Amino acid sequence: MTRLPSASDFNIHNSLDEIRACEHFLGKTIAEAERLLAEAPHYYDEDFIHMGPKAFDFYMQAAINCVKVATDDDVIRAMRAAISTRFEINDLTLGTERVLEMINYIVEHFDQFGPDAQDTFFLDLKAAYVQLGERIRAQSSVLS
Amino acid sequence: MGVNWIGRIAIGAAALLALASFTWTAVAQSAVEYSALQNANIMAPTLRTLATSNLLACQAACEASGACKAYVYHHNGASKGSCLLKAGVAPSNADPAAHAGVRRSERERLGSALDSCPKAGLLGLARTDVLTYCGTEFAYGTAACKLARLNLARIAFETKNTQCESAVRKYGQTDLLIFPANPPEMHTAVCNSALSSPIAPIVFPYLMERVRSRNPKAKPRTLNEAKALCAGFHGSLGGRSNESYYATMPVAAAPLFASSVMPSSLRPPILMAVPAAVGACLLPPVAPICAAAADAALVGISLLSAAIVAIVANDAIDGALDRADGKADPKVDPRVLECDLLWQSYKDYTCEACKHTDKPSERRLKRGCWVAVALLRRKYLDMRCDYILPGSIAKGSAAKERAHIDRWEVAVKHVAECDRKPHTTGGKD
Repeated sequence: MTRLPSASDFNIHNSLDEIRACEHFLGKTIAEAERLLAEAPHYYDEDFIHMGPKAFDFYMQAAINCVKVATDDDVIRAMRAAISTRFEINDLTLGTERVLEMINYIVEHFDQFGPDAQDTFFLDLKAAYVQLGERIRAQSSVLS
Repeated sequence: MGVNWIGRIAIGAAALLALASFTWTAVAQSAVEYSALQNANIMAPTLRTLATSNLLACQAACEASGACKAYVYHHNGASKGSCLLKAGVAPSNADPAAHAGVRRSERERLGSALDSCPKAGLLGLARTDVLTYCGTEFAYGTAACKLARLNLARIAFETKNTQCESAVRKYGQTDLLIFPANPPEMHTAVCNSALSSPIAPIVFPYLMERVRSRNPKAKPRTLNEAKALCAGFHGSLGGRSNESYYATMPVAAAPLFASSVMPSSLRPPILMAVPAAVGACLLPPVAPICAAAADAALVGISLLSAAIVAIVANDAIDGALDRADGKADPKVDPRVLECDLLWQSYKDYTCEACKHTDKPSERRLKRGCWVAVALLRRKYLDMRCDYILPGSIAKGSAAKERAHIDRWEVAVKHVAECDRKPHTTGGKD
């Protein structure tokens, strides 16, 4: 998708989460969305769970860009939770390639994300990304 | 004795009710013939002035007069021994030389007015949890009703007056903590305490004061603006009476907010006291409802807690009401509105993850934020909102619920992380 997603790309079932995701991101360019996510990753990440597939596919690029310039673990922690949930509820129908691109980048550049990313008390974040990538790839190969 | 203003309007957890028949609980109804106002005067027209030997005689004189609605007995000062029979129950003023009383029949009349408050049924459908009714003779009477409809818990200043009664409705599973922002000093105290507390950055977006007569839409956007409003509030106390201030939040969130800024040694009493009695424990004198928690320290804690919970979830609530307004369909399931409210409440929080580099004050702020989110999300899940909200049902309730459980777990983990993660700053601000 090259054009900006429309409201119907965000909001399919008219749930509160979709409506809010639409309010946050509708009309935003990739750069604007990237700034939004960087500003409060633990808030806007939930929109990535609930926005419609086309919007998700489009704005994953913003998440990738955000990850590439991150210097702490906020964005990658937030996005892992969001994508994991989206995958669990079988809503990762579009955007898989971008998700895998993001996961690969994170795994390969894990030191970029600072000391908090290394904290494995509750979650080994790197291992969690590796595992998530494997599951997504496995499902993608089954579907294809 | 008797029920002071705080007792009357402080807290009421009314029973919930079926949609068709709302039950409003008049708060702390008096069991005596007169509601006593100690050290207070009533500024209503005087029917007669008598010389009586004591307060009971004054009360009896009022009782004997059909037109007397209240009395003022001067127990001290230059007018000592004078008994004023009052034709109404207009605003009461603090007066160390007088005691006043309002006839119970008047209170009952006002109490019944709660049930017949204009559009009360509509109010219920529009999810009004607090109703303040000030009687038809009261200058702001009808306005008070309307305010309660337009905003969930806007309790006018005037509710300290004897002709006003407030009621609180319990809405489904969501208890609402209500406290009257009375007397005026409390507004300022609550305002300042909230803004000077460590969680001020969390509080201030929710802390709104509207000096309606001058700036109906005053909303602090920054901490400094909020503080300026507090100062303005303080400066406006010299007789203006039509400011309003309101404060409410889901009661269950109160102790957690409190715990987020309290030394851990003090948490247990707060957790017990806040949901039960914060409304009545705001300031001494301690109302009877607080008897169980009436040691000075606890009152102090409650005051601070009250400051902390001087949070107006108004943005969220207004949103829900806006949607409900104008479509007061009796078939609307009130649970939908409650779920909507819960959803909006937790979405109002923008929390940050705890870091090794946090200062203790930052850590407390962050933790408090996640605690609130976790709590509200849990409530949303407990209510099975994804099986109630139409949009969630359309998407697939099970999937929606799964997603929301994940998010709740994320919030809980953040709380735990905030508790566990060491400070590399050495634990100092």
